[in-house]
Amino acid sequence: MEELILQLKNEIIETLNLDDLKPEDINADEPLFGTGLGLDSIDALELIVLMEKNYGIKLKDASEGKKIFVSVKVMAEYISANRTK
Amino acid sequence: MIEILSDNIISPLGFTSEENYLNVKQGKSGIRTYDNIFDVGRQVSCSRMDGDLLDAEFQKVTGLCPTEYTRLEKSALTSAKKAIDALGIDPKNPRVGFYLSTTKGNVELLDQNLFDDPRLYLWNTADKIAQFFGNPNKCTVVSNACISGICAIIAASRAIESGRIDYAVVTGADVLSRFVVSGFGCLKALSADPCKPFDKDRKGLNLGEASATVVLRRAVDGSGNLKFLRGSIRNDANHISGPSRTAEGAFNALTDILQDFDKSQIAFVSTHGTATAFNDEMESIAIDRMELNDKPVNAFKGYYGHTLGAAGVLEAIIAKHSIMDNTVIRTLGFENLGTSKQINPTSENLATDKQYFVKLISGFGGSNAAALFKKEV
Amino acid sequence: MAFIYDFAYINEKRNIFGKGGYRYNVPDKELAENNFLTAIYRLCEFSYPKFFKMDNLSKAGFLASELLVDELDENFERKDCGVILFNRVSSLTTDKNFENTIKDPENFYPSPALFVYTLPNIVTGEICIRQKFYGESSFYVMEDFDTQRIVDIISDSLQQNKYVMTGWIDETDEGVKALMFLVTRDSLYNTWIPFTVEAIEDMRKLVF
Repeated sequence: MEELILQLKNEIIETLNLDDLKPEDINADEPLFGTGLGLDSIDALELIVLMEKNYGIKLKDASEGKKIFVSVKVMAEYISANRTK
Repeated sequence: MIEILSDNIISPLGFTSEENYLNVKQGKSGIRTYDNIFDVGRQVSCSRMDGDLLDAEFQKVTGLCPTEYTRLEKSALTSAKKAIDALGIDPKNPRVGFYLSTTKGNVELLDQNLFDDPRLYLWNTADKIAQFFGNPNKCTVVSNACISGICAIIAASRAIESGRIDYAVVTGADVLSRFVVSGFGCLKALSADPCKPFDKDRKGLNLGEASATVVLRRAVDGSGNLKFLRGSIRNDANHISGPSRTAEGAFNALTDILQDFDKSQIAFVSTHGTATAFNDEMESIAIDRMELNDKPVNAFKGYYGHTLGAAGVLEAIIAKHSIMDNTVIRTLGFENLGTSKQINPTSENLATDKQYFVKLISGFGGSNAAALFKKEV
Repeated sequence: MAFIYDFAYINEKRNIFGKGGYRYNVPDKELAENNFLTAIYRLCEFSYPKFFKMDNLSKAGFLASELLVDELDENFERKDCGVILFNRVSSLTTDKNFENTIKDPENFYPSPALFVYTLPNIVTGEICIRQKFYGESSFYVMEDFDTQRIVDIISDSLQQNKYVMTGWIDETDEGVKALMFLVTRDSLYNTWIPFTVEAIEDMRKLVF
């Protein structure tokens, strides 16, 4: 799981152009949206693409994403359980 | 003050404004549901022109060869020519200015892998229009997302008022493409089924393609032509693709055009009404802030889909024909209100004896515009 | 009569950027670590994380507008400022980047973050968001920097906007070019240059 969390942090930084951040700057439990990293609706859509492209998980829409994109840890757990790639 | 001398629409609902208006009044829609259009791998509802019919009309009207022009060029040239032919003005005259409103121009060339094609430049398409008509001026290109059509009308009107030109031919045009369908699709903005503006079950927008042209000049009292009184463009300063939660830009634009104006004279507000969750909610907030809650509001996206750069011009033309016909058109697709503010979208065609209508429109980049039109009696 | 409050510019090909009479270039050391636009962002010590999500046109627009508003006096009323920009390429570079995410039917992953930048007026939106400008935002595409047409269009818009931030923001294989000026109806100081074709032409030749 730790490995997946680190990989996911790197993927998030790259996909969302969080140029000023390194993996160690992101706390796996901190909220991705709202406070925490302060991501927005476009970032959520990019994360949906990331899930499909890298892990073969197809999310129906943004609201399904809301429950999964709570934190890096929650994302990693969901990916672990549902990945097809 | 400016007036509309003539107009034309090229769309799946016909190749004249009159034919388009009659179809809209009868509740006909250009939207069809496709299992897989442009190979995007999912069901899409959109409003697409018949390429063969367009080619035939293009050849008949312009005398040009359809294989030498792109879909966008054919659509735009046909519309502009038909609008001009209806009048006695000479398009070669330097006192005539051409305007092109388009968001993506010939973007389908990218889908065809033509990455270095000069026709990808929007001014290239604009030049073709001016050259076809032998006009010596550069055709001005407005590319301001979905509000481009109203912006082009406003820009052209200002040029007339300033005295630089006497007539303006304003054409709004965009075409469907894999590029645009994929793009809106990945934003999860599309509805697989025909769209439902302002409805509680709305699931997103349908895309559409069309060209629409208005020919403008300084208003003449007693001409019987629809007058364009005021226009305003205002930014939300909030988000690049989502509308403002307080409808700041739309509210400011409406406030500008309705200053010192008796709102009871307004027959209807023709909204953007794309049927996305956010847009329609935002427009309801703007209408509520303006205290126009009881005013009939409508949207034409159920007939045409969202025609992007053509929308502002096309929808103003349909609104024009409807008020000239003493009618407020039904919002096709609307059944039950699904916005937080109480507003009054039309569920059927209504009769009206009022003279004014408002066109409201929004687009990516936080852009919003509002325009006030008047029918002479 | 309208006046130029101030101007700012960026020219990647010549490695220059500046505001008014002040001109800078990016030292080689910085260019080795970052691309031109990011290097300017860091040198100026701007702080706006959204910068990194933008495409090159919006980055250039952001930087030029940040330079331009720096130290403008308190008479400048943001809510009455519009942003009207011009260029040749529209959003073509980003369009191609987006097309590349949908080209291959076996690898079809359209990018939302790229798609939202496939409109030239997004630059105006980014500037309005950052600067809290609630005026008129618009965008025109022309084959070349046509100074007379730019002056005509902006002069028209000043009838409905107290200030307009305007200029040219374009991108080619040689990099980005931005020339931005803040124009206003009324002159506060008699040192301000009148907004004329000659004045804009002088600026254009100086920086492009």
